[in-house]
Amino acid sequence: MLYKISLKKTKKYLRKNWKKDLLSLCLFALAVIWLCPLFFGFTASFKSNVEMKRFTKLQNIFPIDWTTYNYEFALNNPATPLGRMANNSFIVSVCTVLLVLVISTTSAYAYERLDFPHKEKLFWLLFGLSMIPGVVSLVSQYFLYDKLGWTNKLISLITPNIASVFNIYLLRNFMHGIPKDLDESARIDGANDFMIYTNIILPCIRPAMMVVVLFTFTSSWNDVMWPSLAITSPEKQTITAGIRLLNDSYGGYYERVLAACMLAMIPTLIVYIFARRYFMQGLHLGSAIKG
Amino acid sequence: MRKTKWKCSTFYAWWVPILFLLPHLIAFCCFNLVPILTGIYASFTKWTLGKTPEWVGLNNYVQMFFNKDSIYYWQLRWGMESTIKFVILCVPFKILIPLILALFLSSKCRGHKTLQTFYYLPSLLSLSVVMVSWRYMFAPSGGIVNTLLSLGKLNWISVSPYNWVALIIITVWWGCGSNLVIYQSALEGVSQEILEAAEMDGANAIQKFINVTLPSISFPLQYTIVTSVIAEFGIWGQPDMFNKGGPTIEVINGVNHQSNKMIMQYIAESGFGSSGVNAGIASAMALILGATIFIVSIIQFRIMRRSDI
Repeated sequence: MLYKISLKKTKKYLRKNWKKDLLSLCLFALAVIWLCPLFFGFTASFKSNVEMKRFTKLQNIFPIDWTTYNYEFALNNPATPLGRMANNSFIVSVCTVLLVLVISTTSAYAYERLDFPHKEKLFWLLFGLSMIPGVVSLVSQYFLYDKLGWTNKLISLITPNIASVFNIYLLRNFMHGIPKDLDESARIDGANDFMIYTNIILPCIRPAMMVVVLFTFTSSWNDVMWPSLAITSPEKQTITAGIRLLNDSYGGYYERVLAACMLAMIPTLIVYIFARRYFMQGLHLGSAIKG
Repeated sequence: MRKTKWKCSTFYAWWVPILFLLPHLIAFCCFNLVPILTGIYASFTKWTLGKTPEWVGLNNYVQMFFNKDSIYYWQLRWGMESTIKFVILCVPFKILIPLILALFLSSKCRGHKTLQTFYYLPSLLSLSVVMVSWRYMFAPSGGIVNTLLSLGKLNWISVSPYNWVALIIITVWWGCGSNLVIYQSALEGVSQEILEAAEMDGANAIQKFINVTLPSISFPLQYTIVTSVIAEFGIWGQPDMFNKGGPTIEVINGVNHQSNKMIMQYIAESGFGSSGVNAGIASAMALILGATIFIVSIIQFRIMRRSDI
């Protein structure tokens, strides 16, 4: 009886939704093609060099013997200190994220909650200035850092990314949705601005902060151009820019570079998984610049 | 009593905002504004690493625009030519493919959240990871693309126009995700009532899209077109890691004209390369690129405002 009902329901459901399910099937098939490069890169990173060179036919997608040699080589080879590079990347990305959080939340609080002369003018002036393409300052930045003695130091990778105005814009929009009654009642109880900022605003804007963390972390971790221009010694290089070096120097050993790539993409994926819940919400804020 | 209160509030009104603003203002001035101003100043100088800049006036610009004996004249020409070609070929796909995908995903078919993650995934990757994976895909012998499509030993890397096709496929694949999620979040805001009303009046899917959906997502659409154009003008890593600029077409004044060498690569070479580093020339070239991006963005905004897409 139960079986009969469920069969009837299924039939009805199928008749109603077969178009959507067909679409979903097509989109999944397309997604398989879409992710091909990563899939083939993943399987190839477990192949030996002999296998890579000799077995290039389609039936040899999967390695004949799975070997982790490429990963061991990539991590332990002294000429390309991948572990060291990953460590550098972590230092740079985490420092950038922390600094961005402090700088942009305080500033967003000032623009949203405090009152001072020429507030909007100042904000939009900064917004406009941040629209100037980064290429204009690319070379002079390097020359300035060279004068300061910052080249080949990790600080030169952290500082250019911390003063983004877009993050302030995003946080400010989110703060706008938090009722002002909260701060008012706290103020009546004797709280000053710093207490309101740390005890009321910061806990409330956590979703927007997660989006800022995601954007800042991925852009800092994934940056290739500036590190590969500003850092010359492999010891101080970040991992993603290091892969560019490996790509040039590894020659015929493609599977080793691919193994390094598979390692380098893990942290951003982890951060994305954590921030995913807040992601679409943050984009709503970002694209709320109604013309 | 009253006076002290007034004083206190002035003190408060001034110092608290300044304390909150100061970290960002200092960081912005030191690390964003100063390099920009230095870059503009540097474009009027001759500046080699470790030396003080030497004022040369408009010489860098004159050399780049009019002096046919200078290598920089040709570098600017070739770099701009291939960059603009790339932008024109790449941006339409970077807009249309995510838009179509977002329209399909907005029907909330089964697994649309998983699908979104799948299509967004490449945007989370670093340029170097993307390029290494795709180099392996496009390798002329033993590459996956040639094997899957049984194209023999088609040389995607150093034969025109295949190198362009490969670069565009890679860039679109890498950049689709960010546009896709913007369209998705915009499509969620499209009014269902108007769509239903249109359906009642007998509009088909295409009519509904053109008359209802498109006007309501016009702002995000404009925004992504402008940002995509800006992003593609700054293309550097894809040709750099794919084929270092591609096949040589001609040689003028001892400089190779390479098929897909972009303006950013020339800027990086003259600002950071091993031979003849000159921040003046590199900054002037960068400023020309920056000005081009700026003008193109403004023209785009103007056109879109007028046609009111």
